[in-house]
Amino acid sequence: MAAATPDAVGMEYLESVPRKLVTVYLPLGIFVFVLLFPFYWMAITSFKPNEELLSREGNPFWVIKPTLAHFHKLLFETAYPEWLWNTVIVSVVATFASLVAAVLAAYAIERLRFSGSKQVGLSIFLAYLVPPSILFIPLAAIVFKLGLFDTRWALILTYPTFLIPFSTWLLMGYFRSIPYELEECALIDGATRWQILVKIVLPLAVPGLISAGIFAFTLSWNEFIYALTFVSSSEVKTVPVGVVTELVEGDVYHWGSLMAGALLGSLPVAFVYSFFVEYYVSGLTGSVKE
Amino acid sequence: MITRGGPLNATHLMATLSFQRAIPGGALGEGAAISIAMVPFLLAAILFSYFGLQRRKWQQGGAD
Repeated sequence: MAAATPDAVGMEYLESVPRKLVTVYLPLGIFVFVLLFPFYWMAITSFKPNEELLSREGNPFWVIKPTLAHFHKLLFETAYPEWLWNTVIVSVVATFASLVAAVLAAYAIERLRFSGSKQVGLSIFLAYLVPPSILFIPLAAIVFKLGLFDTRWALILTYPTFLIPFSTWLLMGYFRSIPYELEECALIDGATRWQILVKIVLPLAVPGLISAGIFAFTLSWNEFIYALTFVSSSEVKTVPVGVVTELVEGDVYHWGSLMAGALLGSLPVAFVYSFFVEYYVSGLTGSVKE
Repeated sequence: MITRGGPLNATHLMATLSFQRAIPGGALGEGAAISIAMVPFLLAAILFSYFGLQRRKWQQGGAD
């Protein structure tokens, strides 16, 4: 420590206010601006009346006569509430089903030590790396043959194809951070594997479960290509698909309603997210303190 | 998707092209072929990230 103190004093002059302004706050400000500007644009567009949207005069970054007409059109002249409801059902059911499967898979791969568990883990990771844009055609054939085309079940059953590998991978990392010794103690006290999983590992893994759940929920909320392919009638569409397919008529883009739909569609996720931010961060970075 | 590949197919990605050929166009095989054509690129990216980014020294900020 004795050597470090003069060093710290010597480096102090680098921490002057103008320097900090350039090295920290300026990049941070640019970053925040770039990230938030699309949201600002989305919000401002959804409140603009059509004349302002299409006119070339005036300031495009501000709205003079805000209107709720686009929201009214969205909520009462399209099937938007149904799309929202579909998205909620599909995302929640798919997320829970995938989490259950992922917990069992991750625990087995991480702690049961059967031969080939490493390879299974790696192949699950590789399965996640195959993008939906390759898988949607074969899956479309399967969905069609099973008679699930144009139902919610098509989406609920296909979303886990990318949710399970992803959450398994995340949970494997988290389970690895839980000390072995706890489980050995439980084994000595006569617990079965199932009791260990339910009573010891899962309570410790709650932050990991929450972050996997949030990730899975957002992924299925935003999922586009499967929903576009497997569903065609308006009452089973999800928000991202419904907004794009029904608010763009030929060459006419209903920008106001499109943006209003995007705004309303992104609010629930932001809402859910805001409850769990702390868990979410600790699930990604932290582990169980010994 | 917002541009539907237009004007004159100028804004198509491989995924949008394969979707358009396969589902609205009805040519499942052609769509599948287009998406399979993505595999070599993906494989290269995966191999790079798997082997290239795994080196310890690099992650800790040292030279290779």
